[in-house]
Amino acid sequence: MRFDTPRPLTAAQQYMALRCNPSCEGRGRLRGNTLTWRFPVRPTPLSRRYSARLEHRQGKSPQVYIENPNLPVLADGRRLPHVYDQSPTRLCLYLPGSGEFGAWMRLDQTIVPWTGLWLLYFEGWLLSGDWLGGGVHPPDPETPRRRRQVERPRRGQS
Amino acid sequence: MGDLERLTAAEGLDRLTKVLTESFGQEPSGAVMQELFENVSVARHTRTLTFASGVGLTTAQPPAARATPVQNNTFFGAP
Repeated sequence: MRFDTPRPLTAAQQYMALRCNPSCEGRGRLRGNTLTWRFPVRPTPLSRRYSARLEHRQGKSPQVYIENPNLPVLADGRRLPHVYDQSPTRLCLYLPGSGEFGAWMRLDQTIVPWTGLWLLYFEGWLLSGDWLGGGVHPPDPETPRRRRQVERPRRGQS
Repeated sequence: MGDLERLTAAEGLDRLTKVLTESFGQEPSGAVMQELFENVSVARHTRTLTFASGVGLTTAQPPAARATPVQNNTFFGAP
């Protein structure tokens, strides 16, 4: 028996953690090994009020969508940065394979706060066109051997 | 509409900054936003950033009892 590998949390455990965490106000549903959690997010008191939807199937990567407002509309034709899909907008919140998120980690302590952080930088990006939150860019599909481009968080707008 | 009314009606850091810029000029409004993002960046680095529903992200110390610390993360995807 190995003791060094944390046990993955079940969908039911994740659901209970979301329900019990007062900083993750929202409503959800658990069906079998799949959970859906809808929650309001306001990154700062001066920010918009966003509605997010978290979908998680046990053993799979969690997926976060912004349901309202429509981010591509706010972006006014510009392509949204750090998303898997433009519409419906699915956020890229962590670097896959980096250990930042694993099946043994709680969604309410990782994915939900990262959603607020993503939306903060999104509003900064709307203003300046600069993403100040740093990140890793996947290689251009036309140049598959190129390394990932790493960008560190910047301190304010230039 | 007066400056104050436009400020209170603006929702979103981007819109608020635009109103501030129209009312007070580029320099002060830019400084406000720069300070905000600098504070968040430092708090991420020092792991003192927290998140709470209804409050959002805060760098206040000590953090509110209901707040959840924001773990380190790296945004992925095309810039």
